[in-house]
Amino acid sequence: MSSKLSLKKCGTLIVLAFFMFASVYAQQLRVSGRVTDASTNESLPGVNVAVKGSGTGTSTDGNGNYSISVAKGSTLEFSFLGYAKQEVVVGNATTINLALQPEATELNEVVVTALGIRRAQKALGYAVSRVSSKEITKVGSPNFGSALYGKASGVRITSAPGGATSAVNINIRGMNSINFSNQPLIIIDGIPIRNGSANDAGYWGDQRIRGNGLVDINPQDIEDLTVLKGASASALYGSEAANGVVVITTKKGTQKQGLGVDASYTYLQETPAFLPPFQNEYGPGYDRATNVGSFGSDEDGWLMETVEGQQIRRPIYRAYAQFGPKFDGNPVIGWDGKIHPYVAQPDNWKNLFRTGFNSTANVAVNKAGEWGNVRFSYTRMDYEGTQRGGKHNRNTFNLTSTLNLNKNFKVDLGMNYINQYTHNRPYLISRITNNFGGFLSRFDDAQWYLDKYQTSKGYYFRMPGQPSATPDENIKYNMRAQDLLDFFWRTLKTQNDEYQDRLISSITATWTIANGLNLRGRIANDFTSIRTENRDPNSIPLSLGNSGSFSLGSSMFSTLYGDAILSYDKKLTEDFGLVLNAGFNGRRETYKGASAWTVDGLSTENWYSLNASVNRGSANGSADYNELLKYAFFGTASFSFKDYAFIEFTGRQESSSTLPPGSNTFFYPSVNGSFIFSDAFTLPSFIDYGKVRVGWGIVGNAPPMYAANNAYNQGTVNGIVYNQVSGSYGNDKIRPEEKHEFEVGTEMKFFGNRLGLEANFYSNKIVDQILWLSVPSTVGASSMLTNIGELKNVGIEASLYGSPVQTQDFKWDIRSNFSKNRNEVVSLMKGVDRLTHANIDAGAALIVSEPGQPMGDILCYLPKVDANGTMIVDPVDGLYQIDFTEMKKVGNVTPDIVGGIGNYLEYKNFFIDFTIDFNLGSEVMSIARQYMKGAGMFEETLKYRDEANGGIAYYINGDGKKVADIATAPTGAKIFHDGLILEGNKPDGTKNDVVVDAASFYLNTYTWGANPAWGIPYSRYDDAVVKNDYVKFRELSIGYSLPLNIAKKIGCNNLRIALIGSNLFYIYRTMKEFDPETNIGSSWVNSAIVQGSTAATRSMGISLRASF
Amino acid sequence: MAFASFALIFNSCKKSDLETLYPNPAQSSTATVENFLTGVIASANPVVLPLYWRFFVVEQPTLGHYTQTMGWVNSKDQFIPPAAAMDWRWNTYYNTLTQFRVMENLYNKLETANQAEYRIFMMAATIFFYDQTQQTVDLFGDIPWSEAGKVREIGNLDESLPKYDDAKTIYTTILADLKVMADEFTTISVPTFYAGLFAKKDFLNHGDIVMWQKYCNSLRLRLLMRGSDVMPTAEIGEILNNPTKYPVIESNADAIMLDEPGPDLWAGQEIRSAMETWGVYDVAPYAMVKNMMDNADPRLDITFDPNKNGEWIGMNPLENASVQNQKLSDGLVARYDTSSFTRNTFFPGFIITAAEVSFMKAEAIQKGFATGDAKAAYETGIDQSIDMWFGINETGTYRAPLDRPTATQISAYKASAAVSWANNTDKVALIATQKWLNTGLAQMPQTWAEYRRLDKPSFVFPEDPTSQQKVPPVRWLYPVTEKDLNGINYDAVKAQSDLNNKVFWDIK
Repeated sequence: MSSKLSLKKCGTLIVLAFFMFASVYAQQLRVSGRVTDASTNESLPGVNVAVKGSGTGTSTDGNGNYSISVAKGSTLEFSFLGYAKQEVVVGNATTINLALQPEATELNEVVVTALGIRRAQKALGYAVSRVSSKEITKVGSPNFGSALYGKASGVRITSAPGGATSAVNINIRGMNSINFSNQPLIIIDGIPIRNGSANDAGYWGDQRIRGNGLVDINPQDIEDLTVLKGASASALYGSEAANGVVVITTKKGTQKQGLGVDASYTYLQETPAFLPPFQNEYGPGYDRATNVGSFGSDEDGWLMETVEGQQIRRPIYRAYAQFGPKFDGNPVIGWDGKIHPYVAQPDNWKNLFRTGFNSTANVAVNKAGEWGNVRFSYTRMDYEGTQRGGKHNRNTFNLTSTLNLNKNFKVDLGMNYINQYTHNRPYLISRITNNFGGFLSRFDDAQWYLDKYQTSKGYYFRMPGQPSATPDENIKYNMRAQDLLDFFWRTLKTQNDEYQDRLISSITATWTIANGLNLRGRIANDFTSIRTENRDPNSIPLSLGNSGSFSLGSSMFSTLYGDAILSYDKKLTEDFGLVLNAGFNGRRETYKGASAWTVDGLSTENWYSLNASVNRGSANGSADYNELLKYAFFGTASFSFKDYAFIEFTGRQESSSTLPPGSNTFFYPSVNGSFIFSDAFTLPSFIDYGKVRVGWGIVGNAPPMYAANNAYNQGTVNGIVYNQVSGSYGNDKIRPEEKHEFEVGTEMKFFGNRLGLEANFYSNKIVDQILWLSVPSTVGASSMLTNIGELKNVGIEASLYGSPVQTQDFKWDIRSNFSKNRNEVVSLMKGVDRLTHANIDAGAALIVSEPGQPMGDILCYLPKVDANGTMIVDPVDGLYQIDFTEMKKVGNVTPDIVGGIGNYLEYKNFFIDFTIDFNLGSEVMSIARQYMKGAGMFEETLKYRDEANGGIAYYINGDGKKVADIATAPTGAKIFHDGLILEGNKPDGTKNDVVVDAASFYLNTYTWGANPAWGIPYSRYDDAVVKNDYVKFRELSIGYSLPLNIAKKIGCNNLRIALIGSNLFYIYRTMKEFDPETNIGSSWVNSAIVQGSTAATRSMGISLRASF
Repeated sequence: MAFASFALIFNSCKKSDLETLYPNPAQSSTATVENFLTGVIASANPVVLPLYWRFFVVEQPTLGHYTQTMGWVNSKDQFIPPAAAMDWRWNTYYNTLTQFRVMENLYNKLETANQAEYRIFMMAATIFFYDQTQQTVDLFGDIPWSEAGKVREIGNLDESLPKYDDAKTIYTTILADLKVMADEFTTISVPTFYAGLFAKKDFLNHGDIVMWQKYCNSLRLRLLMRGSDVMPTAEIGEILNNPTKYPVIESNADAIMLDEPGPDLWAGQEIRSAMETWGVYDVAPYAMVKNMMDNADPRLDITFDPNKNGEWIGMNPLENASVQNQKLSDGLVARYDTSSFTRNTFFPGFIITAAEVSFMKAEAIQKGFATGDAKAAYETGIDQSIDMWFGINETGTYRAPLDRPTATQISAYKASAAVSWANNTDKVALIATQKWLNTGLAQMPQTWAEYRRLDKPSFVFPEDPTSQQKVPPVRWLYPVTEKDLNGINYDAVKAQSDLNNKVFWDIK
C-alpha cells in the first residue's frame, strides 16, 4: 500500500513539472505515436486519444497508431475500455508512444472492507464480490437490491413484486438462521443503515406489500458495492454479520477542471407479466351432479332466468370452479344484470391490473481540488405500479464532501436525505389467488368489477337482497368473486398515505498523527420519520350501520452510530510490512411509534377525525418505544511479506443490550491469509496473476430486542389491574447464534488479463440456533427462547470473466458466476425431532426441518400404493385413495444453485448489454396452483373434459353408475364425453375400471385441505409442490454512445441513449402458473409459499445519460 | 473532531446502559401479590366462563357426549377425544399453575409482617388454584404438580422438567392445606387497608372473606366426597356437623360464580357462536329431555326449546347418523333454550353452587359420613337448582323470562315417581340424577366426574365397533409435548395414559 502511495506522489510531481513546461511553450504541434498493451506489447486499436478540455480528439488505427494536432502544454488523455486511463502532457516531443496498463493493474486495487478499513485486493484472504455503479444503474432498477440479480456469486436476490415500493431480500451463501433474519448488514460509507424485513406474517398479518430500508437508497449515488460474504470477511461486524455484509461506497467529487455535471433520465413502463395459463373454453360451474343437485341447473350447467318477460339463460355465478357450460357466444344475463355474449375473457386477469411506469431523473454536480472534493446529487422518482390506486414519489438529495483542512487533517461529510410519499401500497392479492371467494371466472370481464365494486353513491357493493340506498344497483345474482370486488374497494376507495423522511448523515474526521499513524473518528445517524394516514370511507349508509375508519400514526427510527479507529502502517524491513488497527464502535437504535384510530366506525359519513369515532370510550391509541445498544472493541493485525504473502488477524469484543446482563459480551475472532504465487514464482507466460487465499472466522446473530428478557404482563379485567407472566419465557442464559466459517479460494488471470477466474469453497456451521421452542406447559411456560441446534452450509462459488473478442470495432466482455450451496440441519435439541415452520391448510402439508436434511422439507400425503407400487383407486368414487397414515417428503424449499451471466457487446458506438440469471434446485408450495387447478382454471385442466382433450365417453345407467361401454347404452340415453379412468388398481387388486367425470376428478383431487374426517378424502398436495427452477433474461440494454466530437457540439462530454428492459422473459422455468419470484416475505418460509402477492411485472423503457 | 467523536461514543455506550435497555419497556419489571391474585383468577377465565373455545372445541364434543348433556350426530372415532381439546385444558391449567407459582414466590419474598397482611390474598388464590387442580386431576389422574411451573426459578429446561405426582397424594395434600385454611378462617382478621385492597382485586367474591371461607369448606367437601370410596371420610362429618366452624354454601345467594356483566367477564356473543356455529352444538340430549319430560320437570321449558312441532325430543344416540342428520334438517330435534343458553349474554361462569353442596350433603348423610336429614338435603338441592336455573333464565334477554313454577308445581315434581325420595330405594341414583340435571352443561367436568364416580344415572351409548375406542373414555390423555420433551418423567406414567384407565377415585 505504501509503495503505491509513493508512486502516486511521484506521478503527481512529474505531471506538475510538465505543467510548468507547458505554460512556457504554448504552441501548436503535431504529435503522433503508437499505443500498446503494457503487458503484451501488442498494439491497441481504437484507443481514444483526446485533448483534455478542448473537445477535440481522435482514436488509434488498426495498428495502434494515432496522430493529432495539439497545443504545446496541453494534456492528452488516452482511454480504452479495460485499461487504466493515462494522461500525458505534451512537451517538445512529437512522438509519444504509450503502453496502457490493463485494468488488471487492479492488482493494486484497494477494497473497502469491514469498518471502512481499506486493504489491497491482493492482501485479502477471503472472497468479496464487487459490483460497479454501471452494473447497478444500467437498466434503471428502482433499488440496488434488484439490480444485483446474477451479478455476485453466492448472492441470491428475491424481490417482492409491487415495484419500487416493495422489499428486496438479499441472501448470501445460503441460510444461516432457522428462526431469525437471513438478511445481511448494509453499510453505506461506513455507516450501518436500517434495513429490516417485511411481510413476514402473511396476508393476515399485513395486507399491503411493504418495503424495507434498502429500497430507499438511490442507486444513482452508488459508486461501488462490495459484498463481504464469509465470516472471515465480516468478523469485525460481530453479531451483525452472520448473514454477510453489503458495503456500499457512494460517489465522490472527482472533476478537477470546471464543474462536472452528470445527468440521467430513465423511463420504464411496467406491464403485468407471466400470467397464469388459463383455459378459455369453459365458464363457471361445478361437476354435473352438484350443478343439478345443489343449483337446479340443467345437465350442461345452465340456469334459466326471466328478465323483462324474456327467458334467458345464465351459468352458475356462485361457482368458484370453471366446469360449467362451454363458451358458445350466445347471450346470457350477467351477474351485473346486463346481457353479455357468453365468451371467455382471455385477458381478464391481466386487466385487473394496469400499465404502470417509473420515471427517474437524476442530476449530479461534482468538483475536486487540493482542498478536497464535493458532490451533490438530486434524484426524483415518480412511480405508479401495476395495481390501480397506487402512487409513489421520492426525492433524494445526496451530498458528499471531503475537506482537506490541512495536510494532516481531513473531514468527510455525507448527507443523504430521502423524502417520499406513498399512496396505497400494493395490496396482496391472496384473496384473489388463494381463496375461492375471489376467483375471477373465465367469463368475467375485469371491467364489470371496476363498474360494480361501489354504488353510484360511493358505497360498498351490495349483494342481492341486501339493504341498500340504491337497491336496483345491487349485484343481480349471487356471484362468487365478492372478494375481488372487495379488493377494488380496498385499493381504490380506501386512502392509505405514507409520508417518509429519512436522513442519513455522517461526519468523519481523519488525523494523520505521523507518517503511517492515523486516527479516524466518525459519527453518523440514520433517522427516519414516518407518518401514516388511513381513511376508510363509510361503506354503507349510517342508517344501515356503522362503517369507515380513520387513523393517524407516526413513528421514528433512529440509528446513532459512532466509531474511532487508530491505525498504524509500518514497513518493518524491506520485506516485512505491518498494519495495526485498534478501535471502538457503538450503535444505538431507537424506535418510537404512536397512533390513534377511531373505534367502531365514523359517526358522520366520511368525516375523518377522531371526533367522528362511533365509540369514543374504548381504547383508540397506542404508543410503543424500544431501544437497543451495541458496542465493541476491535483490533486487527496484518503482516505482509514481500508484497506477495499476507496474513491478518482480527478480533472483536462485542456487548449487546439484547443479551442478558452478565452474559452480554462475546468475542468474534478471525484470521485470513493470501499468497500471490504469480509474484513469488515464475509461471508460464499465459498466467498473469495467481492468488490463493484461506480464511476462518466467527460471527454471530444476536436475538432480537427484548426476546430474551422476562418481565410481567399487565392487563385489566373489568378495569381491575392484574399481573401475569406470559406463556413465552425468554431466557436469561441465551447465547447468540454463532457461525464458524472456513473458506479457501483462488483468483487467477490469464492471456494478458483477457480471462479471469475466481473460485471459492466454504464450509460453515451455525451453532446455537435460537428458537422459540415449544416446551411442556408443565414447566411453567409454553415456549422458551432456546439455543437449540446446529446448521451447516457447504458451498462453492466460481466466477469467470473475460474478453473473448477485442478488435478495433468490436468488443465482447462476458462475466459469469455460479454458486452451489448445500444446507443441512445438523442437529436439534434432544427430544425435538422436527421443527414445523408452516402448517398449510390445516395440516394438508407441512414445511419442516429435520436433522440430516436441508431446512424446509415439504411434506404431504400421497396416494396409497400396493406392494408393487401401483396406486390404489377407490372402487366407488374412482379417485386415488390417499394414505393418511404418514406424510411423505415431496420437496425442499432451499435453493442449491444461483448464478448469472452478463454480456457486454460493443460495435463502434453501439452496445448491447444483457444479464441472464438462474436459480435452481428448490421447490415451492404453490397453494394457489392447488386451488386453481382444482377449480379448473388452467389450460391443463381441459384434459379429459371432452373427447378432443382425451375424455372418454360414458352413459349413466339406472343405478347412477357411469358406464364406459356406450355400446350397452339404452336407446335415448345421454352420452357424456368427460370421463376418465385413473391408472391404478382397485383395493381388490383388479385393474381400475371406474369412470369418473373430469370435473369431479379435479374438484376432489386438488382442493383445500386433506382430511377424511372433514370429508376431504381424495385431496393431495404433491401437485402443488412445484419445482422452482428458472433461467431468466433479466436485463437488457441496447444503446448508442454519441461520438465524442458530436457530443461536444451539443455541449456534452458524453451522451448515451439506451433502450432498457428488465424481467423480460424466462428462457426456462418449471413453474408456469405464477411468476417464480412473486413470493413475498423476508422470512425464508414465507417466500417458499405461493400465497398471492401481486402480479409480476415486465419493465421496458429508455435511458439517457449525459455528462457535461 | 476525532476526540469529539470518541467522547460522544463513549458517553452513549456506557456498560450500565446495556442493562437498562435489556428489559422491554412494554412490560412491567415489577409485580405485586395483589395484582397476581387477580392474574391467577383471570388466568382460569377460559375454563370458567362460557366461552367459544371451551364449549365449541373442548367440552361439547367430549364431556358433552360422555355425560349426555348434549345431543350429537354419531361419527366414527367419536369417543376418541381430540388432542386439541385435551391439550388446551391441560395447558390452561398449567398457565394458572404458573401464575400461582409466581404469586407464591412474590409472597414468599415479602417480609414476615407483610406476609401476614397479605395472607388473605394467598389463601384466596390457593383455594381457587386447588379447585382448578382438582378438576385437572379428575380429568388426567397423576399430573406434574409439586415440581411443576418452576422454569422461571430454575432458568433452564432440563432441570425444570417436573415429575408426576400421584393423584391421590395431590388430593391428600390439598385437603390438608385446605383444612389449615378452614381453621384459619375462623380467626382471621384482615387489616382494614388490606381488606380494602383485597375487595378491589378479588373480582370473584369482591373481598367477601366469608364467601371465601364457604368456598374453602365447600371445596373440601367436593374433594372428600369425590375421594370417599378410597379415602378417609371422617372429615366430611367434621365439616357438615359443625356449620358454625366450617360454613359451606347454603343458599343461591352464596353461590360462587362469575356473574357480573362487564367487558371481560361475561359470555357476550361467545356462547352463541359456540352453540350455534355449525348448527349442531345446541342439539338437546335425548336422555335429559326424556327425564325432564317424564317427570314434568319445571326446568324443562327454560332448558330446552321444543322441535318445530312443539315436541320435546332430544337426539337419540342409538340412531344412525343419516337418520340423525335427517331429523336435524327436518327440525325434529329439540334444542337448548335460546334465551337461557345460546343467546344469553349474561350466562355466568359456575364455580360451586348451593344445589351442588346440598346434593353432596344428601349423599354424605345417606352414606353415613355425616348426620342429618338426607331427604331434606336432597329436596333442598332440587329447590335450589330450580331457583337457580330460573334465575339464569331471567338474565336472558332473547325473550321474556318464563314464570317461575309455583310451590305446588315444585312439590308435584319432587313427589313424582322417579324423583320422590320416599318412593325410590336407590337414593344414590336419585341424588346422582339431580346432580346431573343441576350441573349439566354448565359444569361439565363436575358432571362427568360425578357420573364416573357414581355410574349413575345410567346412560346408553352406541358402540363404535370399528374404532379402537368403542365406548366413552373414563379419563383423558397426556399431551404429546409431555412425551416428547418431558419423556424422562412421562415414562413413569405413560401406562396410565389410556382412555380406559380409571382415575384413582373411580373404583366401580
